[in-house]
Amino acid sequence: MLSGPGSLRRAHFGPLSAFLALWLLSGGVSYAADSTPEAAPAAAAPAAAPPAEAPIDPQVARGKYLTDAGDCVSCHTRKGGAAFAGGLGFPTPFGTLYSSNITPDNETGIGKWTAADLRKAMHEGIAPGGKHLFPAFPYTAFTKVTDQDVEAIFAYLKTLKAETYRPPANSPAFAMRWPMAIWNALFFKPGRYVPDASKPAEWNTGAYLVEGLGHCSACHSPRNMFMAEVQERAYAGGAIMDEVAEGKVRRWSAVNLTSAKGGLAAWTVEHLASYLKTGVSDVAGTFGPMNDVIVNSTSKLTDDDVKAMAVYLKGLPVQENQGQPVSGADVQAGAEIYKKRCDECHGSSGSGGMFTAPPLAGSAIVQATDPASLLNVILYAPKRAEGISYGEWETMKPYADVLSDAEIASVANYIRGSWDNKAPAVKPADVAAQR
Amino acid sequence: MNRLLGTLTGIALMAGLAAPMAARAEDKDVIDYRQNVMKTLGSQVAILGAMAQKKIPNDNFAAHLQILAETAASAKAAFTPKVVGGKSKATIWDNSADFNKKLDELVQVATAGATAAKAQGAAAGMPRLTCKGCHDVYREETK
Repeated sequence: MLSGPGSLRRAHFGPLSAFLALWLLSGGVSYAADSTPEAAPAAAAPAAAPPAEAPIDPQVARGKYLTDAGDCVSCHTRKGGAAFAGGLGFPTPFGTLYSSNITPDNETGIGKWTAADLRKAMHEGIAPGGKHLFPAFPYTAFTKVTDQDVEAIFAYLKTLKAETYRPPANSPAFAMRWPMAIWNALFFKPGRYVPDASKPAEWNTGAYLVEGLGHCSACHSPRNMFMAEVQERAYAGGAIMDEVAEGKVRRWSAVNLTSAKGGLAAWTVEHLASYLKTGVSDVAGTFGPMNDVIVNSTSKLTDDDVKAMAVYLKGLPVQENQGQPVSGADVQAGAEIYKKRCDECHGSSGSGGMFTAPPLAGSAIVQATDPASLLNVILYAPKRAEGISYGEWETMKPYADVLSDAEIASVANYIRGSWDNKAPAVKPADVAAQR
Repeated sequence: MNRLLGTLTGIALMAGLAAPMAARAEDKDVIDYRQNVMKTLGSQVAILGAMAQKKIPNDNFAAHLQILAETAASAKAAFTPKVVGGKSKATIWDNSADFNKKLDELVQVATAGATAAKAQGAAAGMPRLTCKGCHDVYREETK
């Protein structure tokens, strides 16, 4: 039942198009219906191979697909730097962490690592030499990835060009690594993904991707004061720091991925699959931190795999948003600004349109308890992803220089409390914090 | 003589005063005309978009596409007088060749779409209209 993608030869367009062909031909990571807990998911054999010169190791090809599924490149690449050479900074409440070089350079990368070393890092959060890794590297999710898949990823990483580059040192707070042993004991549950026999194969494939390599919960689940994901509120929405404009890093809220009214209730499986595959659906288009996830990862997965992820996400236990919804005069105060600035594209009923803008009624971004991402959109306009077609939606303009904090709070409250939307009030100080 | 002079002066003065007033009224009418044309285009694409997304019945798909195509064809006349204002940027008339080319493309695509829809109904599908390409360049944001 478990077969690799088969041998593929390099097409004359070069290795990139050979890999592209593989994505198209491979059956993704589908779990077979008779998968056992130990069974590794595998890609189906391609129906045909393009004309070729040199063979590509099927394990390497599969490793590339899985590396894409894990979106490794987005975090392990600094701005302007070589892919996978690391050095991207992650601002945390404790200081800045830098991603590592995962190219096979012997001194600065993972050139001396073995497959077992990568397994230990991904499954246990421990690098060679016993060094504890920080969970900015989501080993809390990667622990669910099968041994076979980690080995394929390792085989692929070994084929990358070795880049000699040492990322900057982490902030002093991260010099001590032993506290991570305590953190792991308290918050980390190691173990491979165990398929749920009562669920269809598609759901299991989706669960494996979402919970494992996709590490969606790393951003979309709330974290406690120790920066551990709150399991009881899994996928209820989280927050991360990322760029809002060139060189300006601010807070972003990651939406509630469950089908709560303030989450993805308005989304169908088809909407979600389309969004993950193309970056756009009738209900929303990608912007901000999701751009890299779509462009570097989910858009490269097979149609079957993104659909499986969508099926799993739509089946998540519902987690309602928290907080007292804004109401009455606080909502109506922003009606005029909405009419003047937003109505033309988003519509008087907030339903948007194919030729104007995505809907605001029922939107997860609009209703997120934490308004950070909504405010970023109003202040800086949604940053579109390169190479993604947003159809005929108009280009939204930034309002940072047009509206005051009070005006932005006011119009945000109008859309958070209209058309059956429900979300807590936004204060001018919330807007100021995003400037 | 003096009375005649006075009357002539009065008429001249009135004409002088009246001319700019008349011009202003005319500008407003031109802007209204443009805005009404754009509103009609906007309302038709909103209807067609909702039909394409299956939010509403698509029985009148061809009819709305026909209205869109004819309104788009009339838009050129609405933008011929150079009157900066409303949401129209001066660049419409500075780069009139490009502006008219974009408008012609819209007319062409909408007309072809309307012809196809007349024969096949909604099955003809949504033509690839490009509103945004023009708006991004030539439409002023509300201040």
